[in-house]
Amino acid sequence: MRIILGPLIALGLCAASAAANAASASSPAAPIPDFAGIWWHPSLPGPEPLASGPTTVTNRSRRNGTSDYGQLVGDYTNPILKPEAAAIVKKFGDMSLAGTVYPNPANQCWPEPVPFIYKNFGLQLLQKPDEIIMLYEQDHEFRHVRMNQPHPAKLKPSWYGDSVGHYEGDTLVIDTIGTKADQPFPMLDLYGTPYTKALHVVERYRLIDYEDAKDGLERNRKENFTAGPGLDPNYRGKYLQLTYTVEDEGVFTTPWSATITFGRGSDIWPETVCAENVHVYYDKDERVPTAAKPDF
Amino acid sequence: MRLALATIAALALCALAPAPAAPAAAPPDLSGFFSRIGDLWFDAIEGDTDGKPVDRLNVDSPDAEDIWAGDSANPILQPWARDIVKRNAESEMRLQHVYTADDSCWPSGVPQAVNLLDVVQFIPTKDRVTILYQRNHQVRRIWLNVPHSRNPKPSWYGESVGHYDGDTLVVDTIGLKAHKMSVVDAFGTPHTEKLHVVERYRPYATPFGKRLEVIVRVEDSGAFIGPWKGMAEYQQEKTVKQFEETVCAENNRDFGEGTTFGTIPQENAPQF
Repeated sequence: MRIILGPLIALGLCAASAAANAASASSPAAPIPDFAGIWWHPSLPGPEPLASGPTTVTNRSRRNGTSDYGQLVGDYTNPILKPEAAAIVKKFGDMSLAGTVYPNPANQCWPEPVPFIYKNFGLQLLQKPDEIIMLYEQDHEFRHVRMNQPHPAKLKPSWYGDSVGHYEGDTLVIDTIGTKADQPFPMLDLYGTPYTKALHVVERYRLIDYEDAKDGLERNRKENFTAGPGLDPNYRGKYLQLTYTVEDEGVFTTPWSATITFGRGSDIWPETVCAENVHVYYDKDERVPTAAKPDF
Repeated sequence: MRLALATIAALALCALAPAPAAPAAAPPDLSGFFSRIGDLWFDAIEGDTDGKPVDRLNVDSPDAEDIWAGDSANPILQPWARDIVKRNAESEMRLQHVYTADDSCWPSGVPQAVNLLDVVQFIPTKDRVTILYQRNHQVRRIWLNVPHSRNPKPSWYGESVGHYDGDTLVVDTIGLKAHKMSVVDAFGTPHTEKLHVVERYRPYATPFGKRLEVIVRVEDSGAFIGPWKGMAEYQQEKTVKQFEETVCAENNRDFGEGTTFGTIPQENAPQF
């Protein structure tokens, strides 16, 4: 017995070494989903209302059965809204009905808080072990998400808030608090739904098959105006599903959720510069008040 | 003896087994956060045969520190570009600040982005390097190991392709939009859509920590009589753990604080 131990030990060491090399060359123990590449959703205002349960404010103004992006009248009767918040949403809706395009972070070139920022059609996630960078298509907006860390005890409010993340199996979970509320356009959607410093958003991203994506795509088709140029409608590969939950006791009667389903399409990442005002709505620029001459 | 031979044979077999592929030459380590150090314009490179960047004029004035006037006598400038640099300098001398893209919430373009204040982050991934600038959250994408497209649509950051040259990230940019706010330096030196910029980022160690040498080579036969080269430097910020927000629309950058240029014309009432 003893005489065969030498070569066996040598081969065993060899095999162990090869296995170790293979292990170190492959992914770590818990597989991390790969979200690389450009993701697109096609729609405005964007979120997919849930089929049931507390969910996002939607547009009372319809065009061909879906949200009329040219007339944003948020449904102020949505039971998620506290009375004061409902009054604000109604005020903006009345402005829209009167033909006024009210200012929001996007059309005024300000940073867009979470979840307003989902208005962007394009999304890229750069995954690093210690952080994730989320790049959005318009006006060079990006967010940093610190991985596997708690929120600081003392938080200075900021435009995108403090985002920390971790993986739960195949799902990236991002928790955001500390979003600056004392700003000119404190809105978390295009209907002007307000928020306070108590805003808390949890985002959950995971890859799903087309069959599983159909539900969200269908809810999107029923609700939203499709405008985005990026998504290939015939795409049948993996989709990226975002499910997010919003809490803000200053504004909402209850936590609510919605989804956005991202797919693949264009590889071109356009440069959209807000200062340049290249945004076109219904084939014309918004009629922004313009002074003919300076008065200074 | 047989035992020894068998053991040796087994080890030999092990040695012959395919080893994991050796990684290719490691790309330069650009990790961490960096900040621009030195003057916020390009330094000339001693002994280089290309032209020199526009330098800052020495001004004899109590306000000299706030006057950013470029030397329009630089022979690299085409006449029309010289006129603009001269006009800007004269305006600065009159204490009328020439507003730049950075002052006015426009993208800074290439190579002027290299002169931006605040933190910069390089994020290498398989097919690209993404550069994030804290200042007004600007983003550049450098696509690795691919050629330029045939006719890139002009844009503020142009089309950037890159590769690693040993310890250096080389970035080649064309397709840069010519706009009155799109300039190549702090003195408002203009460019045309012929602008072609090659940046070379090389990290190196110093007693003060990691630094990043940036050499830019600029060609634009529309604005310059020949290519010119300039140098800049970044310092790694070891204490910085994440970006802060520097939002141009918020004007939270202390622009004008304590300077003679702090008074931005404002309308008291809208005209409409």
